[in-house]
Amino acid sequence: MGFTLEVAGNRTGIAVNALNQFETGAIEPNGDELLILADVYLKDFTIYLSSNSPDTLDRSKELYRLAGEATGESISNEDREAIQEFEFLCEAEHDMEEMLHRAKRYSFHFFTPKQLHKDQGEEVARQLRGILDLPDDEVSPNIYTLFRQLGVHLFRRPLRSRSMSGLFIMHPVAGRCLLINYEEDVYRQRFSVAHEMAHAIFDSALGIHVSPKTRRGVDLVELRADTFASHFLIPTPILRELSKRRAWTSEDVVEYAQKLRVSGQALAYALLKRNFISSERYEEVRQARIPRDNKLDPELPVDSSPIHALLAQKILDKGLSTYYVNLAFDAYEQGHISRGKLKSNLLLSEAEVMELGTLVRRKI
Amino acid sequence: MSSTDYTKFARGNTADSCALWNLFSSPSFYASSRAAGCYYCITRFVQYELFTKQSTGKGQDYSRLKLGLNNEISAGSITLANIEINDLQDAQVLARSRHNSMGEISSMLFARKSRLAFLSDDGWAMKFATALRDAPTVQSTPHLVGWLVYQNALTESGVAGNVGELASYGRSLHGRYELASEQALELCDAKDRPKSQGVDWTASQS
Repeated sequence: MGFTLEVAGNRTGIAVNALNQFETGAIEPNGDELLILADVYLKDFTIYLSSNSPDTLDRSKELYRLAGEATGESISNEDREAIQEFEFLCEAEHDMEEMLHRAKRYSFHFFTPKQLHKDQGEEVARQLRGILDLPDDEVSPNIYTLFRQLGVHLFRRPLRSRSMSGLFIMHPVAGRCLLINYEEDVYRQRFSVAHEMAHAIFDSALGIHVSPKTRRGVDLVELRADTFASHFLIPTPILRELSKRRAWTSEDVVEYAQKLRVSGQALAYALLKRNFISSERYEEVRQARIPRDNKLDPELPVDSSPIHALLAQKILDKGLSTYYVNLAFDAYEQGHISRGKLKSNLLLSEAEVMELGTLVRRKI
Repeated sequence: MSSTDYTKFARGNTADSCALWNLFSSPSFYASSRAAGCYYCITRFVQYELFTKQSTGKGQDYSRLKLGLNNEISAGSITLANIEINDLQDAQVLARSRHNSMGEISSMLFARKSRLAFLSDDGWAMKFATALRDAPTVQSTPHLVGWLVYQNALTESGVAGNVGELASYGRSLHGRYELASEQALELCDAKDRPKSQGVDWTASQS
């Protein structure tokens, strides 16, 4: 995680002098010290014992370097920790899915085209909507659930960096992993997850991809991902149909952006790029804003009871997903993981696990 | 009827963090066990889980417990131990890294190595420890409650007190403690009956 020795000493309870000697190879940690280091750095301890394991420490360094490059700022310790936790959750989710023999609901062929073109974004968005049984005139209700059903690991965690919308990792064990910045606007996150999904589809060969909020210059990889996200969330047939009856005033943009659960700006831009409005009209409506309080998070169902809404909010605030929490409790109840492992997989304290178990009505 | 034999309990234990909190959340329970000759050891990883790890005790006031536990460790009443890297390189252990917590693994390995019992309240951790080659004796705090009741070192009201003290920390083992207590009392009753009623007197050795 790039802790200083002093911070590592505080986190591990191991003397700084001893940590220094581990680093230089002067002495070896004992078994418990190795486990403590694995716990603090959120790694499977077996990777420290095997020379054949994937070099996760190098991958983390590369990730932080790329994140710094993409955002133009150095990555804070808090964000390094959030990214480390995200990788840990993806690996744990993969492990528990294997233990429980959970199959993907939808089968989709991820591929890397030989030549890069932004139109691929539009074409594949249409194909994917077809695979997910989403009619052209229907809004995808919970995009997060749908993408998880394609087998990607997806978490929303707050990142301190305002310049980072999300990132994609092709994890050597867990596979395609998407992290979305939970600090961002709810509809912006929804666009970001579709954008990161495009990287998962097209750019797995990159291994790691960090998406900055604002870009410098033209980047075709990012443009293709934006095109995919726009066409996946705002299918052209819907716009065509609506344009027969709408002049696309600011009020229209706000009303339909809310129905599509995208920002007014994203809808206005889609209308412009697909020639449903002129550039003059675009200038008039591109500032149309949906009031923040009216925005709906797809992972917080509006028709649920107050207790369920509170539970869903708590799970999201902890950077977990309802899918992940249920998976962990299933793995525990079916005897695949112990209570201690349940606690560590949820990254929660004993008391928090008890509270969560009560809320999700699981016996622990 | 439980398969747990409340007439026997190994006095030397390596406890995982969950079992230690369950034991230590009730000072009278811990004191009764110590008075009955039980002694405890924790590994350095469990010490880290209890005192250093950031999420430990979050949401509950564990500071009093931590202070008391720390005093016991400083006084040498609870001893500290380490496992070695070689201990972790057992194929059976490596295969369990996805299923068990590191605290459980560290504790059961030290218990095996030191010939102490492994004290855990997690059924799946106990199951794995039992399946280890050269498995240690595996026991739980409900087993300890039953044994103390059987030994007359803990009364029914004492058990109710333990349950209440645990509950104040959001820990709930009441069903298991009460069941252990009832079953141990049944064994006591059986022990006091004449031999002709079919009681195996040899089973009542502690």
